[in-house]
Order: sequence, then C-alpha cells, then structure tokens
Amino acid sequence: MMPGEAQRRVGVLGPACDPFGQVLEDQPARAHDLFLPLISPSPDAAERSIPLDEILVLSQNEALAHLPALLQSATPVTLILRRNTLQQDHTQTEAALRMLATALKASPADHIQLCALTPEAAQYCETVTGLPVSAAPALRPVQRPETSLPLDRGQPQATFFLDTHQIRDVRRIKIDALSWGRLRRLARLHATDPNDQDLVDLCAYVSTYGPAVPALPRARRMLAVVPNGVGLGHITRMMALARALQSERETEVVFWCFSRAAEILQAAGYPIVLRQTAAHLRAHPPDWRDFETQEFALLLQTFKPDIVAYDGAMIDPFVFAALRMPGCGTCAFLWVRRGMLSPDADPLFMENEQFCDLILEPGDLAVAVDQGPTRLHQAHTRGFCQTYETQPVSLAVTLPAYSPREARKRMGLRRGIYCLISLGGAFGDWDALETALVAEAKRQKITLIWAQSPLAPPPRSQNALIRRLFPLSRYLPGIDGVVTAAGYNSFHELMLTYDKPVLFAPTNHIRMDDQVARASFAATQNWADVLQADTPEDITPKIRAFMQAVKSGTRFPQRPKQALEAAALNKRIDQMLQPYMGHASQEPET
Amino acid sequence: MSQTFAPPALLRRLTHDNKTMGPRLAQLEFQNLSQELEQPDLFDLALDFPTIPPEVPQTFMPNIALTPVAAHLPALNVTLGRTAWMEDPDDLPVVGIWIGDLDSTTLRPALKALLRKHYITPFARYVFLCETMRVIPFLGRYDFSYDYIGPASPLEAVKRLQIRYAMVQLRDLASGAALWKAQTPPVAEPVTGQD
Repeated sequence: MMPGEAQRRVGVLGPACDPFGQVLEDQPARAHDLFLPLISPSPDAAERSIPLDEILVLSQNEALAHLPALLQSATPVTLILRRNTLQQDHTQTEAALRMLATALKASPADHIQLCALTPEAAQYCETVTGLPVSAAPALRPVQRPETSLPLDRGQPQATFFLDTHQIRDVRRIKIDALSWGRLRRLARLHATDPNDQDLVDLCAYVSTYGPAVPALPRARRMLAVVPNGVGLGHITRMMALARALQSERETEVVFWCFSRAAEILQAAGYPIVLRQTAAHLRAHPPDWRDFETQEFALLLQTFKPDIVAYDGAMIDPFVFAALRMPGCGTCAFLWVRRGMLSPDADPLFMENEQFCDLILEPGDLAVAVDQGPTRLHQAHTRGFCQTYETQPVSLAVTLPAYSPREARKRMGLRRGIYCLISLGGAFGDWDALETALVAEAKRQKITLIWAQSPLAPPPRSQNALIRRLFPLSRYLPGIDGVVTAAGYNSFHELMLTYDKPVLFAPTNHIRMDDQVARASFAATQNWADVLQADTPEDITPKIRAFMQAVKSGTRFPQRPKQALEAAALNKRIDQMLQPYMGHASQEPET
Repeated sequence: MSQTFAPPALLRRLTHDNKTMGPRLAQLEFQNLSQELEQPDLFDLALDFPTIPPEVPQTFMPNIALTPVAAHLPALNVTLGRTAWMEDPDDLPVVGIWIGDLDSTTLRPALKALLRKHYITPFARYVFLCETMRVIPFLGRYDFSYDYIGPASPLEAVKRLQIRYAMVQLRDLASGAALWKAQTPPVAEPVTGQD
C-alpha cells in the first residue's frame, strides 16, 4: 500500500516511545492508518502540503503545551487524558486536567474529542474535568503470553522469568527496549507500583487476550536490513536465508540495503530500498539516524512486515528507534549473527539481544575453535530473545552449478588447468602472495583466474585473466583449484560444494571474523591447506604443494556436507512468529 | 595521554600537507576514474541466477517529504567525491544528476565529461539519482553520493532530496539539461566576526 492511497494520516503529538502510541495500530479501526510524528500541531509552510486526517495528542500535558493551535486546528483532534504517573502525582495531574477543561469550556471546540485509556480512567477524567470522556477503543486480542513482566518506571530495567526449553531463565530488559505492540504479545504486563496509575491503566488496556491463531492469513513478509559490510557476505547470507524461507512458504522479502552491491539482490528478484551510511555521506551520524528512522518507519508502516531481519554484528540504533514508533511495532525481530568473531571483539554489541525475538546463528563448520564473544560471553540484557543455531548457510548449496564443460565455456576458458584466485580486496596486503602464486603457477603451467568483486576497481595488470561473475559457485566445476580468503561465505561455499584443492589465505581484521582460526581448523581436518602470515617461510612450499595437487587432480571427498535445512528453518521462524499471529481480527475473551 | 593539545607547528604542517596532497590525491583518483571509464564493460556485472524473475516488483520508496517532521531535520552532507579537491567543499551547492537507463556507450563519456569538469573546477557537490543500480559500485568507489530511485520520475524525488541534501538543482546527465531548479535557493548564513 502506498501512503496516501488508502491510509488515513494521523499526526501523533507526544513522545515517540509512549506506550499508548505504540499500540495504536492494534485498534481495529486504525489498523491501516499511517502514523506520523508531529512536533507541533500548527503546520508550517512545509507541513501544509501534508494534510492530516486526524491529530492524536497523547496526554493532557502535550495538549496544554499546544492548546491554542489545537483549538484553532481544522483537523479533528483526539486528546488522550492520562492519570497520574510517578513523575506527575495525583494533585498535579488533576490540576492539569482542570486547566485543560477550563480552556476547552472557554473555547468550545467540537473538533476535539476526549478519550482515556480505560472505562475507569474515563470516569475519573469525566469527574475531574466535567466534560464527556470516552474510553479508548479496545485493542485486537492477542494470545495470552505465559511470561509475566513486572514494570516499574522508576527502574530502568525489568527482571523477569522466561521459560525456555523447560528451563526457567532469569532475564533482564530495559523497560523501553521494545514497543508495547511487541511487549503485549510477549508478556503479560503488570505495574508493580500502584501509585503509577497511568502505568496501571496502560497494562490493563493492552491486556486483551484471545485464542491462538494457527497461521497468517497471507504470505509472510520479511524486511531484511543489510549493512554495508566489507564484502558480499551479508548480501549472500541474507539471500540464502530468504531463498530458504521462500522455498517452503510464500514469503515476500524486501531489502533495506546499505551495500553498494545491491544490484545482486535485485537481479535475484528482490525489491531494494538502497541507502547510504552516515560514513558514506560523511554526514553527522545523529542527523543521518533521524532520516533513517523516519523513512524506515514509513516502510514498516506500508510494507507491514512480519519479520524484520538484520544480518551483522553491529545493529545501528535507527532500526530499534523505528520499531518503537507508532504503527511499527507488531513484527518479530530476527538477528542473523554469525559466530567466529575475533576473541578480542568487544562483547558490548551483544546487549542488543534484548531487542530481538530470535538470534539465528548460521552454523560454522569450525565452531569447535570459536573463541569469540558470541561463544564465550553472555549478554546482561537478553530480554525475550532465544537462540537458534542452524547448519551452515550457503547460497551455493541452493543454486545449480554448471557442468565443468559448460562452466568453462561460459567463462571463455580453453583447455588447460585453471586455478581461481579470490583473495578479497578490502584488507589484505597480498603483493608478496600474488607474486609467489604467479611464479609457481607459471612454473607448473597452471593458468590463474582472478575473481573480481563487483565492488572492486578493475585490476592493475592488463594481462591477467579476470572474471567478474556472481554467483561464482555455479562456475566452480570448471575450476581445478581455488586460493581464497576464509570469510564465512567463501569458506562454506567451498567446503560444502567443491571437492578440488583449496588453499586458504585468511585475513584477520577487527571488523571481520576469525578467519585464521577457521582456515586452520579446515587444515587440521585435512579439508584444505592454509597460508599463515606468521610463517612466511612456509608460503612458497605450501603454494608449490597446492599447485601440484591442482595439477594432479586431487579430490577431497572427506569435506562435510551438512547445510541449512529449509524445513527446519521455516519451522523455527514460524515458532518465532507465533506470538505475533494474534493480530488477525477476533472477538476478545470475556 | 601525554599531551592534551596538538602542537601548533604540527597542525600548520599537516594543514600545509593537506593543501598540497589533497589536490595530488584527487589527481591520482581522477586518473584511475578516467581509466575505469575507458573500459566498455565497466558497468556489466555478469549476474547469473538460474531463475531470473521477469520483473522485480517495485517496493514503496519511503519518502521523508511525507512526514511533518521533515521540515525540522537538518540537511545531510553530500560528498565532493575523491576525484576533486577544495578547501571548503561545504560551500558548494548540491546538484542532483539524473542518470537514466543509459547505454554504456552514452553513459561512460557523459560521466567522464561531467567528472572532468568537476575535477578541474569543482562547482557543485553531486547527488546522482540513478534509475538502475549498474553505476552504484563505481560511484561508491569514488565516494560520490547517490540515490537509487528506480523507474520513478526524477522529479518525484526532488522534494525528498531537497529536504535530505538541500539540493538546489537537478540536471540530466545525458543532455545536461536542467530538469528542475529551486525557486528560492537557500541564502548563505552571514559570516560573523570577520571582515
């Protein structure tokens, strides 16, 4: 749905993280509204071109701050009256309500409707103001969650018990980490301090439960966020996961993509919203984040995904900020986070677990040597998130490869022995290695093919044989050996689908995974050989041995075969979505 | 930390080096860019998926101009690109360049002509509005700003880019024609405290 086609535009005046604003989309009559944050109800020149169908003011305090503009507004206004909080006690709340009532009585405004969270709150507000106050429309029922979450706005974190796999786990979460649209689906919410009457009202308002819904009444929708990354790893992995999801059930996938190689996703049939990072633009990050938050929220409200997925370790806060905005909060968050990070990596990023429903860890064949924080450290704030470790994820497994003859024909290769070199262009200092490879290949009459990344500049040498192909895995049967870096995707693509000689040249960089450990593990399993930067004297003998293996046609049948199972993935994703399926229209339980 | 402030002499030297090396770096980058643009297959990425969909469904392109808060957001920086150098690129206006779905034989010379002028005398910071994604990796390599708009009319993107980047003009790469100009270009803030 495009904004402006059928969606009512509702301007929301109040804090973006107000719990009532976060459940507005669960009011059946507002399910398709487009909620737009307002800074002021009086439109300036730029805002006049954005006509609103309604202005919704989230508290009497906001209303008092903008009262003259609200009274003169030509747009219908719904004003939500709230009871006292810990910060604004009973006396102050009543004073504010009476002040508002006096102003409204002095300037009668038919376009302003008063509303409170519950019938009890409405009665209280009517008594105080002497004006008619209705109760807010009931929310769509959701499944009654088993978990109970005590909330106290005086405490920044909530502690609760979460039953996972028959184990009772103590969990912590920042109380404003998740939208209440998600929270009410994950836990029964109750206020621990009865003096915070507004919180008591909010908890009562969102506790509308109904029977479980077996399945979504339409195709699943996933909005996949792909960071820029160093190479093509994030794109390739998310594409593999999207294809696995689509192989079992109809799933619409849209990519919010920061990678300059987004054309690959588009060629595979996925719609793209292409973005630039703050670093790309050299923009002030908070300003850039404001743009990302607003536009990401617009996409959330129009595409209405069931899943927001993010692949990468560092999740920019704009994603979570948008998910907390009105109209954006009834989808599950899937964090695709691979292991094998450097042992020195700061584990602070793991605190983002509290924002997630599921952490999907793509399996790593070298997990036995994983010494990174995702293996050895546990986040302090884990919220409701659960962890699911899959078999290795590789796009190559899902794509049919060409026959050796066809692959060679398509690559324009003649007869002979060919070795593919794919070292990754970002961080390696490969000059010495390239020289050694070229010399040894020449000596053994092997032709080198240099794989060029779509992100890389054209090669310096005019005489080199270069191929820029994606996905490269389809052409591997026409190649007699591969020298490559040991990133997650290249490593698993080769180990799972290729049986000829492989020589790893791992690169370790702070932004990347522990490639040395991964490649060394493969060497210990006799799956491949590895060039270690700290033993330069071994490089030439190893290249020589590798080239001999290429020339003699050595095969490696012992390489593993286990890869991601689409059925198991879909089952786990459906489990994750189960709490969110209650948004189909139902009658509330009595 | 042994020293809180950098020595003024060091700062002066680095500033001097920057003024010297900046143009030289831009020159080398421009040489690389020119050589890249000589290659006929520069924008041809051989993407080979077994089941290529006949048409990729278009998705809603979120537009900040649809939100009331847009008027309150400060415009984002637009990069000058690595093939040009000047001391204060922020002073240059932001101009949108629309790159339609052009044939490589048209696209490469047009880009080269524009970026040559940009290298010799930078007179604007560019946001390239791209109908296709072919040119994105190339533009990204040289730190240019871009915006993928798909098959939508570039004029539909104007309001959004006016808000996002304070864009004042939009031109067609192929013809050089002005497609749009801001009615009231932003007035520079008066400089205070200087003669």
